[in-house]
Order: sequence, then structure tokens, then C-alpha cells
Amino acid sequence: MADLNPNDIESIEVLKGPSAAAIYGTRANAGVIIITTKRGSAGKTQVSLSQDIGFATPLRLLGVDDWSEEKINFFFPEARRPIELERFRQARATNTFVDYEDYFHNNTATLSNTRLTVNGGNDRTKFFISGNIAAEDGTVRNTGFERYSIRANVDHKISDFIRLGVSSNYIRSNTDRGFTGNQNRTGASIGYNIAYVPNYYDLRRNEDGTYPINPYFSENPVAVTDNAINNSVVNRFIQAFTLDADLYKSANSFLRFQLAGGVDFLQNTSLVYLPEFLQFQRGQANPGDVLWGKQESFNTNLQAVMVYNWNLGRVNMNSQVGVVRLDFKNDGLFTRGRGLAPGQLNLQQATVQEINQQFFSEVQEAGVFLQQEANFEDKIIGTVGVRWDKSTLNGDPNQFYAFPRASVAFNLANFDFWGSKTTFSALKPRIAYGETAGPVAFGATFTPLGGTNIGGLLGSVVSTQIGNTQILPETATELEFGIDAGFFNNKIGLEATYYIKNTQNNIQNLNLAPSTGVNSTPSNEAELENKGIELALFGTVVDKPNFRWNSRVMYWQNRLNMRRLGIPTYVSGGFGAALGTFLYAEGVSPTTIVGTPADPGNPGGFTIWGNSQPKFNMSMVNNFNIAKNLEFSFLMEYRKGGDNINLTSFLTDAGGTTNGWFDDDDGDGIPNGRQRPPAPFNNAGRWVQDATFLKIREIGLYYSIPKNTIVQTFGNSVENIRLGASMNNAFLFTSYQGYDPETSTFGAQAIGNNVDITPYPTPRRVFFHITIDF
Amino acid sequence: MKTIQKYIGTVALAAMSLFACNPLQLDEIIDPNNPSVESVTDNASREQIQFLVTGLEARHRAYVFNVTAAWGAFGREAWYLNASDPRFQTDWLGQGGRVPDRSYFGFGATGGGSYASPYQAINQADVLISAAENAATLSNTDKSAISGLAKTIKGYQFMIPANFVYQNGIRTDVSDPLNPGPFVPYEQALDFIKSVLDEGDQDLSAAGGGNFPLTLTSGFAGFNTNAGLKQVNRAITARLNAYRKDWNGVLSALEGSFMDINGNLNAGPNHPYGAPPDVFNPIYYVPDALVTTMIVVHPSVLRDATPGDLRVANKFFERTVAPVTVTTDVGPLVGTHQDARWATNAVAIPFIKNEELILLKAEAHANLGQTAQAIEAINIIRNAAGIGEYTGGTGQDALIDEILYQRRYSLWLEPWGHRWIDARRYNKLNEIDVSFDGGTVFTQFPHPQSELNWDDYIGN
Repeated sequence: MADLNPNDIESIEVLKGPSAAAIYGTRANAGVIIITTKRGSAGKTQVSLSQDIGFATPLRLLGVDDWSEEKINFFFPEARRPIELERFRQARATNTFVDYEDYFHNNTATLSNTRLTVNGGNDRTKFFISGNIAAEDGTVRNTGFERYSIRANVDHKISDFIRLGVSSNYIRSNTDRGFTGNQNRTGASIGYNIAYVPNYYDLRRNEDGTYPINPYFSENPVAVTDNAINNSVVNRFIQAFTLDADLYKSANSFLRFQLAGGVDFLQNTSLVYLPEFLQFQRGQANPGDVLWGKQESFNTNLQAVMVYNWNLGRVNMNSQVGVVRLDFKNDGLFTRGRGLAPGQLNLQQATVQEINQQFFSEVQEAGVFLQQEANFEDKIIGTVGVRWDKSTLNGDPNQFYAFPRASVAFNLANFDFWGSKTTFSALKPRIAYGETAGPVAFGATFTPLGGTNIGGLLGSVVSTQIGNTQILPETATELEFGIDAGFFNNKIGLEATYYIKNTQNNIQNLNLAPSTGVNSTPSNEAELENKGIELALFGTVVDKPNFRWNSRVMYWQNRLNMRRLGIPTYVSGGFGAALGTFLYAEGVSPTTIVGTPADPGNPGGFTIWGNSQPKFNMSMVNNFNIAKNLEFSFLMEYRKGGDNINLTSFLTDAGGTTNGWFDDDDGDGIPNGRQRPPAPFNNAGRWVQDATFLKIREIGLYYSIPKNTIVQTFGNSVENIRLGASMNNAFLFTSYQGYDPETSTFGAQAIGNNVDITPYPTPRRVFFHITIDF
Repeated sequence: MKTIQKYIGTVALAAMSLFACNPLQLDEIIDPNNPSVESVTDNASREQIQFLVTGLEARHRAYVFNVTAAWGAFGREAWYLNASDPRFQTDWLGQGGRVPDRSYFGFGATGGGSYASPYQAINQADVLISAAENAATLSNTDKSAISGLAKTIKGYQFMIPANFVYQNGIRTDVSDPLNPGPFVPYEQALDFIKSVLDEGDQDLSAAGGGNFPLTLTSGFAGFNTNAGLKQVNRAITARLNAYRKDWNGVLSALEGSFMDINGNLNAGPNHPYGAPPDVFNPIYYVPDALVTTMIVVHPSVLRDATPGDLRVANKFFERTVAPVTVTTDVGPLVGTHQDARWATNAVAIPFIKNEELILLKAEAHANLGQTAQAIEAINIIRNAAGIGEYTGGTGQDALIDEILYQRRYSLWLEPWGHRWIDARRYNKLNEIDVSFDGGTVFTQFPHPQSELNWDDYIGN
């Protein structure tokens, strides 16, 4: 998804939950996103060129604490004080205090995005061709990315009955990730260094090109950002085709065959390079470290569908039967070299050459589906369908699992009894039911003998996981009720939905007694329940010829509950109970944050400190059209509640650099940085913080230059010119003590994600846009 | 109409060719990355058994870092300073009144390197024994030798969880992963371990003379005969018998061991380490490295040292650059000396050695009131360390104190946590000096959470 050129997208359809996505079967538990890319249109060839130029700055910085002689005498051991005081006095004399947060994170990044599209064709062949170059620096020192994308979508009518569509997309992206986040014994994390280095010690490069030794941590982060590499290059080729054949056509029915398929090939080369002269590397037996990763994935899909559209009296019937086949292949090789020749990144220039990991996986899946839609004059619309899927990931790869769905909606306003639609224009109650599945992880059925080397010999070690050859896919069932209403000729609309989603056969590891030498086996015991409400109110608030205001307000909330665990209560995620972790227990939401001190009265044995699930979320989008040519829009989101585990504070407190560390709110002589509430100031509750926020996510202002002006200036060579400015992550209001309440150390995982550990500040991005259509 | 028929025909052909390579037909996917455990349960080849033997050696060393760093910190032999995660200091040293819970930092819900890892070695040994038993290519003496080695390592590994949770007791019946036996008290567990080691000893006797039938790593250099492995087995049994306070048992086990009063004190089997695909010595740190992650010598070990002690000179390296300092919310810890025992990161780590056996001899004699023999053994150690003959009191308490003191320096930071276990054996945990870190000394750990969870799950 991140690989797609946003400008190539025609529409995005989100099928949330099983009731909508059931026909996608085994892989649809989390919903389905259907992205339709733009296609060509017949007529004069249109050329459009767009250029965005912008900059990014940190949305929010926290500041670092200043030092004083008093604080140094408090913070450092007696033997250490003289040298620290000397450093402090020297910095004061020369005024060389360095705010490292500012130095590393507060950089203005330039952003550029260039797009060219060519679109045209005749009634037999149409094409849409686009190219895109995006280049963005990061606000963190020496980070950024570039992406190149080229696309050709071609549609051709082979005859009046057969249509062929081909989509080709090649993407190359090159990302310099930098060294933020959790640090894994490389000493290289910038955030850790900001936490531990006092501002009176200057780590910046010496005039002779060397770097000062960092006496407070294992590495000089200035040297790392100047010289180290953390890069990822992705080459991706996505090729898809569709072949539609009209087999039969009459006045009120048709039979169509659709064959669709695609290939998605992704190649990723990752590189982490730490040169031999870095402080941490000099402390290693083999200085200089390079890690090369090569990953390839090759996925194919093929789908054949017969569609029969016919009328049964006044009911339009659409019948579908289809076959689906999916194949996934992955191949990863991770290598490492230590003890490098100066400046060399080739593994053969390393003293110690190592294969870190090689991994293969292959998955095959097949499915069959039937679907029947019935539409009674747009008054009653119903669908029933079922999909049967099997997968080599399951315990029994030849077992088909059925995923039925059914839905019905009533357009009450289309019935004869409704009367005038002027005031109350639409009322559509709807109900839907569906089942989907979540795939079993690759390898869940295997009990392997791992390979390990010792003393020049290869050993086979018994795995600590026992495979489950009976493992079933997780199945989710969802029942959704809703009502859609429209007022004043549908100028104002209301959508309300309530859903209950149950996941059965939830795949979780059954932890075994570790004294048996094995730790876990995948199990299907748990049942998870989601209940939620989604409300949307939208409409045209003002509709004048020279001023139009559209607004959409949304409210949603979700509640998770582990209805049945079936396996022993356990805690998982984060960095263990002493720093806050998540509780998996029956009758409790797995977003529950627990931690020390132990409390035998609670399931899992720890104190409950919070919950990462928000009480509710709200968002509001507003669009204003002023005098035809001017468009203004903004999007804001409010999240109420939901806690994060803020381990960034934990680290900066340990380093004495948290803003306000040496203040003493309770006046007991112990500074705040040494006694975060709650008492007795040593439990996990100290790092659990409310992450309520209000964010202005997007602001946009666009102006289309009037046609007359264009003709006067450029003649007829230019069709259209549009100028604009926009802002992304514009403003944040929160009392959360971190860069961003929407933090995610562990990427986009569903649960256990709200852990803040020295992330980089979210960038506020400001863009200026120009689009010229020829 | 004709064209329609043509197209129907084309589509039908396309559909047929599609189904010729039936899209609903899935291939059997076998693990592309590893052989399966089932592949060795029945009639494994000699090579497969060899891989399992080497796998056992690999599992046998999995505990080393965790036990060395953590138990070494519990007994204040060393500090494992780690600025990346303050809990290596605050939690492992029991600062701020912290006491071990069931998912304690560094051990997790499974007990990690101090509990789960040794049990994984035990499981590996059990799989090896049964695979060898079912392998037609092996002779009976081969099978005995393999069983003897496996049980010797099992006996060694069982002692790790036993000492970790101490009076809480351990499970000894662990062969069925879905039906583990009950926890038995510490003393009973030690008796069980004794029976495992004795069986291993008998198996090695039954294996006859000659070389161990499969290849062992250099870790068993000098011990890779059936008789040599018997000596290792008896050495481990001597250590166990000291924990069992079976002092005559210590002496009789020592007789069958590789103890040599006049021999190299460092003789003994070890855990080999090396460059990839092997792993480097996990407790090696570059001298004077300017890093904030390092095992450093505990200040009390330096303070209590006898002037001229060669062990201090040989094992500790005083940093010529700034000390390693890590500050936590409790305060700073300063490490001035590093571990100097490893010349490179590829040096093997001994797991039991002649020096310990001689000290066990001294301890057994002292406890049996055989003062002269105890002092004789003590003096071997003292003279080797260059600190002269023993001149202290000859009462049993004085001798035990002397032996415990010598063990602090002779066995300093061996991958076992000797100081912590020794102080506990003689009710001297309160003599461990916590004044440098303001922490506490733990007595033992509770059972890991996963053990409790399992009992909950099956309804105990």
C-alpha cells in the first residue's frame, strides 16, 4: 500500500469486518481494502503535470532538562562529580550547551513530489500512463526516502464481446531510516543518547574529523548519523490482467465470464552499516558491522468467475460462481559481516562472515464461491453467498472451510407509501451477517529440528515449539445492524452501525510448562469479542452559488473482550511486567495494561494500570468551496482515553534529562525525575499515561485559475491550472508526555502496540502544489 | 451467432486448460527450512544421532550468559552493567526493595536462561536417548555410551533450575510435554539428580573402554572416551553431593573424577565458542572498551582480595580508561575492573574444573572433621594463588569460612553463580555486600508464571 503512487488511485473501498468481506474468505478477518487504479478514457489525449514542494518540521518536541552544579552533585556519584562539574563550568564559560533533541530531531526537511500522467485512447483501446518521483528528507538528521513509480493501465476491446485489461506498475523506493527507536546493543539509538547525555557535553565533530568519546553511553550519535547507514531499497513489480467475455446477452439478461489474475513480485535489499571507527564498534572484538538482507516475495492470484444477470419478475438477480487460487512464496537471506576493512561494505571485506538467517516459506490456497444478489426495484436489496477455502497453512490442507454471508437492506423511501422525499429523503435499515477467517501462521504445524553449530560441528536441536497438526484457521463471525437516513433531498445524511464481531478458534500459543523443555504450541482455544458503534453525520451545511460547505462528523468506539481464553492467563507485549505489559485473561480486554507490583488477586498476578483502548474516537472533515475556484478543507480527530506505556520517559528519567527532572513538586527534596507517581515510585504504573489527543490531521487550500486568465496567458495550450497549499499533521493538542500519542514501537500490530520507546517526532508536513493539465 | 459460438468455444477451451492444472489442487508443503523431530524418532541414521549429540552440546551451553551475569550479580561477584536497560541494575540487584516475581525481568514467564534453557537441554537429552534406543544402526555399547553422556549432561542441567527456585522445588518427571510430573522439594530433587547421574555413570561403564562412539567438540578434549566421560560424570556428582551435604559421597565421587591434586587446576571440560556459524564467548568484552554494556568485577571482590593473590592479577583487569558507569533511578554503579580471563572472544568457558574438585575435597574433609586433609587441600589452592600456606583457625567454622573465601576467587564468575549458592548453603546470604548498590540479596526465585499457568490450565 505504501508503495502505491497516491495519484494513481481512482477509489478505495474499505470492507470492514466479516459481514462485508465474507466473500474474500480466509484472509479477510481484518477486513478488505479494494484499491481501484485509474483507467484511461477515450478522447483527446490529456497530459497532466503536478509538482508539490514542501517542508517538514517536528510536530512536537519535549525539550531536555538543563543542568546546574546542584543537580550534578545530586545526580552523579562523588568520584564522578569533579569531572562533571568541570565539564559543566567549561560549557558555561564557552556557552556551548547543546540541546541534543533540537540537534537530532529538529531539522527542516525538504519534500518534493512530481507526477506526470498521460491519459487517452479511442473506443477500442484506452490507456492511462503515469510516472511519479517522490523525494522526502526526514526531520531526523540524515534520513529520508525516494520513490519512483511508473504505471501503464491499458484496456482493449478485442471484439464487442471480449475485453482485455492490463495493469503494470513498477515501483522502486529507497529509504534511509536512521537510528531511532529501541536500541539493540548497538549503542546507536539517537533517542537513547538524547536521554542519557547532559547538554553541557559537546558530542559534535572535532575539527580534525574525529568525534569526542561519549562518556554517558556507548556511542557518539553524531558520528552515527554522519557515517552509519540504515537503508532499505524495494523493487516491486505488480502486473494484473482481466479478461471479460460476454457469453450471452439479451434485452434483460447477460452471462459473462471474467478471468482475472496477477503477479506481485517484491524484492527488498536492506543494509545496516556501522563503520569500524565508531565508539561502540571500537569496543567490539571485530569493529565494523554490516548487515545485508535480501528478501523476495512472489505472489500470484487467479480468479475465474461466471456472472449471470437476469430478472425474476420485478427482481433483478445477479448470480456469481467462481474459483480462486492464491500462491505465496517468500525467501529471505540475512547476512552479517564484522571486522570490516575501512569504508568497505562488501561481506568479503569482513573478518567474521556470518549467515544470520535464511528462511523460505510457501503457501497455497484455493477457494470456490457462490453469490446471489437480488434487487427488487432498489427497494429491497439482498445478498447471500458462501465461500469455501482451503490452505496449506491449516492442519488439514485438504479441508474446505465454509464462510457464508447474508445481507439485506430496505430502501424505505423508494416504496410507494413513502410520499414526498423532500424533507425525509431516505431511510435504509440494513442487517448483514458474515464469516471470514484469519490465516494460520506459516510453520504452525511443524515440529522442527533446528540447525545450530558448535565447535565446528552441526547440531540438531529440538524446537521449543510443538507443531499443531490439527490447527484450524481463526474464524470471525460478524452481525451488523445499521440504519442510513437522508434529509432535505439527501443534503444531510446519517449513518449508524452497531456490530458484534466474534472471533472463534482464535490462534494463540498455548504456553506449556517450560520444565518440559518446550515452551508453546499453537492452539485454537480463545474467543475474542469486539462490539462497537459507528456513527456518521454528514451533509451540505451551506449550499450557495458562491459558497458551499460540506461537513462529515464521525464517532466510533470499540470494546474488546476475551470471551474465552481456553489457555492459561498470560501477559505479553511491551518490555515485561516491570515496565507495563498486556494481559490476556478471560473476561478481560487484551488491551489491558498490567505491571508491577504483583497483585495475586488479579488474573495474571499483576496490578492493572490502564487500557490502551480509547473510550471513543471522533473525526470531522470540512470542505468549503468558495467562489467556484477556491477550495478549503480540514480534517481533525479527537481520541478520548486509551493509555500508552511511555518508556521514553523511563529512559530520560534514568539519564536525568526529562524536561523538569530536577523540579520537586512535593518539596520532599527528591526531584520529580526520581519519584514519578504513584508511590512508592518503583512500579510499572509510573509509565502508563493517558493518550487523549486532538489532532488537526489535514488542512488544504486549493485554487483553480479561471479559464479566462489561462487563455489570456497561455493561449489554448494549457487546459487547467490548479494551485494549492496543504498541511499534514498540522496541530496536536494533548497532555501526553511524548512526541505523539499515536506511537507505535512495534509497527502496525493490532494489540500490544501502544508502547513509546524513543521514537522520532512525527513530522508536520507543509506542501505547496501546482497541477497543470495540457 | 456464429461468433458467439466461437467465443463460447474459446472460453470453454480456456476453462478446460485452466482446470487441467486444477487450481483447487494444493501441493503438500513440507517444512522447507528444517528436518522434523519425527524424522529421528524411528530408526535414525548414525549421522542423525550425531547431529542430536552435537545439538545436546549446544543446548548444554545455552544457560551460560544468563546464569553468569544474573547469578553473578545476585552473589555480587560482578555487576552486569547495561545502560540500555536500567532493569539489569535495578531488578537484578533488588534495588528499591524489588523482589523476584514470576515473570521477573531477564527471566520472563519461562524463567529463561536459568530455567527454560536447562530444561531444553534435558529435553534434548531425552530425545537423543530415545532416538538412539530406536536406531538399528547403533550397537548396544554405542547406545549405552550415548545414554551415559546424555544423563551426565541432564544431571548437570537439572541442578540449574533446582538452585534457581531452591526451596520451591522443581519438576523432575518431565518426559511428556503434556503431562509433566509434580514439583518435588529441593532435597528430593537433588536425590533424583543423583540417580540420573549414577545411571549415566553405569551406562558409561556398560559402554566399555575406548572412544566415545560419536564425535564430541573440543569442549570434551581429553574426556572423549567413555572412561573420560565417566570422570566428568563423577566430578558433577561431587558438586551435587556437596549440595546434598553427603560429604562421604563427595569424596567417593571425587575418586572417580578427574581430580588431580598435583595437576593443572584448570583441567576440565568446557563449553567451546568461536566465530560464526558458532557463537562467540558471550561474556567476553574488549579491554577498555568505551561502552556502557559490560560485566564488571564487583567492588567487594576487589576490596576483600588478599594482597599478591595471583587469581586477582590474572582474572581482573583494571581499566586504563574511565570506569564503566551506569546510573539508574537508584543511583550510579561504577565498574573499574573487567573480566580478564578470556584472551579473545573465541575462548572456551570451563564448566567444571580441577580447582573446584580440590576445593570440594577440602570442604568435604572440613565437614567430616578431617582437619589436616582439609588444610592440605586448601594449601594447594593457596600456594597456586601465591598467597602462602593457611595460618588461620582450625575449627570447622574457620575452615569453612576459609574454603568459601577461596571459592570466591578460585571459582569467580564461573557460569554457575557459585558465590550465591555457596552463601545460601551455609546461611551466609547476609554476608554478601550490598552496600555498593543499595540492593538486596535474593534467596530464590518463585516458579515461573508459565509453570503456574500450566497447572491452572490442567486444573491443579
